[in-house]
Amino acid sequence: MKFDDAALLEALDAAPAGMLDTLPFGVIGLDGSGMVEVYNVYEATAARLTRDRVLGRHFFLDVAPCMNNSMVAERLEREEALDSMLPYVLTFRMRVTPVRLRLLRAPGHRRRYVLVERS
Amino acid sequence: MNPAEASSEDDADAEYEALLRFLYTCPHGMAQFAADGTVLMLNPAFSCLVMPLLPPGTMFSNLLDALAPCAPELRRLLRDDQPARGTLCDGLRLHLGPAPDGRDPRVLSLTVVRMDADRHMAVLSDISAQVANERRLRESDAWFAALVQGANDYAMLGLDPEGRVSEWNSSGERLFGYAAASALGASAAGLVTPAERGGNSQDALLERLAVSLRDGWHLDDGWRARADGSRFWGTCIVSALPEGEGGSTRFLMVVRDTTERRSTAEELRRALTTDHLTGALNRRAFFEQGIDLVRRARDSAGSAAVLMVDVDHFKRVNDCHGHAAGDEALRTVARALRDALPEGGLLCRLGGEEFGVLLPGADIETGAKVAEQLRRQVAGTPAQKGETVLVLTASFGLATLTPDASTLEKLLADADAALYRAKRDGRNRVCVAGAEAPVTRVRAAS
Repeated sequence: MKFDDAALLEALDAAPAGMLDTLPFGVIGLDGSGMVEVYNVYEATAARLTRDRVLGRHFFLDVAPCMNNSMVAERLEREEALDSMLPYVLTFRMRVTPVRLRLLRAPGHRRRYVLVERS
Repeated sequence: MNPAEASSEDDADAEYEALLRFLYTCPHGMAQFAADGTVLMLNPAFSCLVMPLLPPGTMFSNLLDALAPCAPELRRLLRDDQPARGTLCDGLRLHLGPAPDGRDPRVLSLTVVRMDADRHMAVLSDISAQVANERRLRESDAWFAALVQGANDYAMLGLDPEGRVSEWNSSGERLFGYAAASALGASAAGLVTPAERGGNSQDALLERLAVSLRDGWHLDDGWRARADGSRFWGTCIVSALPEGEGGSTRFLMVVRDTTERRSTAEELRRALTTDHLTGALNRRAFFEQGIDLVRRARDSAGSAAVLMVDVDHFKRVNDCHGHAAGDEALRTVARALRDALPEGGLLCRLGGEEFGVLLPGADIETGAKVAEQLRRQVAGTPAQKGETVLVLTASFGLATLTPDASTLEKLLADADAALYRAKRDGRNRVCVAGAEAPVTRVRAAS
């Protein structure tokens, strides 16, 4: 499974437990109201946050307010079919970290994803 | 590792993580940077505030490069000659200009503290809403001050959510001339937003109601219509009232007749542009209009002429008959000049007994003809002060726009030189710049 694979949303939804933790990019899965359901090891290590303390929290309000804007949170909320990549800057552990984000959402899929790859 | 150590290590980890979360979720931007602007550490809010300022595709790594375009003083503040440590700026406002989506202009507040030569802390906050609120507060202060200062009259009425008049009283009847029976239930658009050409006054009213719902109130100045079809200039404020029992919003509208204040403004404008003795334009207005005239004529390759006029032997009038007679003489000359002025001509008093005339569109023949008319009018209009009747004359210098004289300055100098010749050659005559022969040869009246 690669960051820019086509049909990645289906693959992520179907991935067995533990498989997402082997990926070389961050995977954040959210339910329809923005609560964190998936937070893989790569992402937890980069942000230096423990998965258990992130799961069940509201991602854009309580974990990563830096993505609570028109480029990320609003698009995920507004667009029912979304597969978009954008350059972005995150601040993992208060350091400027250029990344590529991929936003995934599709009709018929309950879960939405934010994927993070360091560029 | 014994269990106690493991647990204290877990505690330290948990604390470190809590600290990170604290910084990740802080709503204010915080950053640490070096003297050259290089960012050492920053929290997400800081990066979110700065990113929109960067040209597309630019990596954010230098605070100075990112903020200097909207805070030019920042580089100076960070120079070495500033304090070695301490606050370098506190709440410095960065005005980012209007927001593209029509929201309030974006304003950031920046505080920078220097720890040592190479370590600075910056705090950055978005204060757009606060600044916009301050502005609205100032406007509402101005409004309430205006409300208690003399308006000619005012009316207070209630509106329903569709902008129909739901409450009407004697103040409305007085100001607008409608009886309650015809006002109630009608849209207030007919009162406060007389249909502009092609505009929809009902839409304009509903938009105001929407704004007052959002901001608490809406204020504007404009024409208002009375029942008899006449109009008056008035200030109108609409404020949304707390929801009534039925759960629907009501609006309070106050309209003040400010016609008088508007005419005061007109008087002020006149006071600023006219000479109080003669009613002619003053010097300031003359130069403004003159520059404008020359520019328009040059742009359209048209003509323009300037006349300098000087009352003959004016010192003698003052000396023999007193200043009151002198003033009357000036008023009489100004009136005579104005009476004979062609359409579009402008008369100005340049000082003492000297006048200037601007003649848009006039070439040398027209200018000379007009000057001659003015000269005759002045000579034929004696001034009267008490028993004294004063026969007055004036001398005229004419200059017109030519390739050699294409600025107001040059025109005035040429007209002045022609006026000097008219004086030297015996007064009560018109001389034209560049022409040797005077237009008129009349024996000067004494």
